[in-house]
Amino acid sequence: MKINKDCIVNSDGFLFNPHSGESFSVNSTAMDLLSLLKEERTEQELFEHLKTSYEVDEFTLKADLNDFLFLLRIKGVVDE
Amino acid sequence: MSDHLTIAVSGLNAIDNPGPGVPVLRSLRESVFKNARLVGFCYGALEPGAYMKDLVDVCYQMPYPSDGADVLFNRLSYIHSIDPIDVIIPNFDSELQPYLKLQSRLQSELGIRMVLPTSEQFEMRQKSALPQFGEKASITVPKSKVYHSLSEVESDMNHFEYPLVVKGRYYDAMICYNGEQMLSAFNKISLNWGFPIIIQQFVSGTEFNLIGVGDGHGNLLSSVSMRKMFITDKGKAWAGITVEDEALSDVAKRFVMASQWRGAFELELMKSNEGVYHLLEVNPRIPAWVYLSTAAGQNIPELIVKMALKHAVTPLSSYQIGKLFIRYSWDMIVDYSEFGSFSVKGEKTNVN
Repeated sequence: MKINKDCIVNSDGFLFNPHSGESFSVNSTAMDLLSLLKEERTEQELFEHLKTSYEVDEFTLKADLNDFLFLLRIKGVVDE
Repeated sequence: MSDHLTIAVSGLNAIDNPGPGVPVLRSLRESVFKNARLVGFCYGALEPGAYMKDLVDVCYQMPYPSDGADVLFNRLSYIHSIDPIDVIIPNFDSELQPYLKLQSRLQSELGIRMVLPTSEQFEMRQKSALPQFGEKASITVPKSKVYHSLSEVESDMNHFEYPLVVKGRYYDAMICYNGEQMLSAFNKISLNWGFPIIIQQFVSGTEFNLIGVGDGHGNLLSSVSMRKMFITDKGKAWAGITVEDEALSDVAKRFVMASQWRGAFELELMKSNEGVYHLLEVNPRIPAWVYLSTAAGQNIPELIVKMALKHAVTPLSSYQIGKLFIRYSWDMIVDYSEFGSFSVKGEKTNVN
């Protein structure tokens, strides 16, 4: 999984998709994930990273990560 | 060369559905024609562009398009006799028909040039003819039907699916959610703009606009796409951002190829939730957000003037993505004598 190369994420957490014209504000956790997606990490690697970085149960983490990645897919921010 | 050139521009009004004249003039002031004499054509003494002294050198009040082509020709002949004009850029839909009628006469008798589509091209993109054009050009267009009277629409009342959009021939569009709203919108728009009225299938999604220029031979010379970010209650973009989407550019290419369009145009499109672009309207002129394209790297008014003067033009292929326009209003302060003189004389010379 990798972030669409044309999408721009600045250091303030502002994400712009130049194809759709949509823009989003993302929090620090999402910024963290987007920087890993730039390195083409797998979904499992994202899960492992979050599990070690945050105090959260696996069930909640899995659900939240799925939701976030689903949102990125439908907004055209990530390519499979 | 540009020091001796005179370019006239109309559409200097700036209500919440502003005319394109001021941004066209602003683009020309930043073009290779920046030293040209810029003339404003106004329909009233309260058009704010007339008072923008850094943009306009002289203004003339013009007869309304409904007065006909002969009245317009007489006015243009008078203006040309005291202020010889090289190029006119008409910016209102309703002006285009009289200017189209006069196009060859203005060039042969007065030497005034314009870059306009042909009458056939102008007609084929009318709202009432758009579905047929869409089929020809392989562009998705929402279903629509044209009505010439209230009784016609009343007889179809049981067949409508809501929401739908009621549109005037040239201006205005209202989304209606039931029959009562539809009849009210039908009456209101027909009262303001006359018949026919177009009733169009409503498509939900995200609005995009594209400004482009066709060379008259099926080639696209310029194209800038914009996503509307903030919309007024009239559906006009008050803020927008340049985007790049190949599917959107393809619609413009198909439009220009199928129509052999000559001159500037604007495509209004709705991207449905399924990702399909639906062509809602084709405006046969430069739109009011044209300065965004200039700021992003494609100066379309400059291109139009070059085409009018038969200069060699090369297609403008790229522009900056992620440039926004954010529109605002600004109260100019004008002395009553300046307004009064323009009202009475119908002419106004601006001195910086």
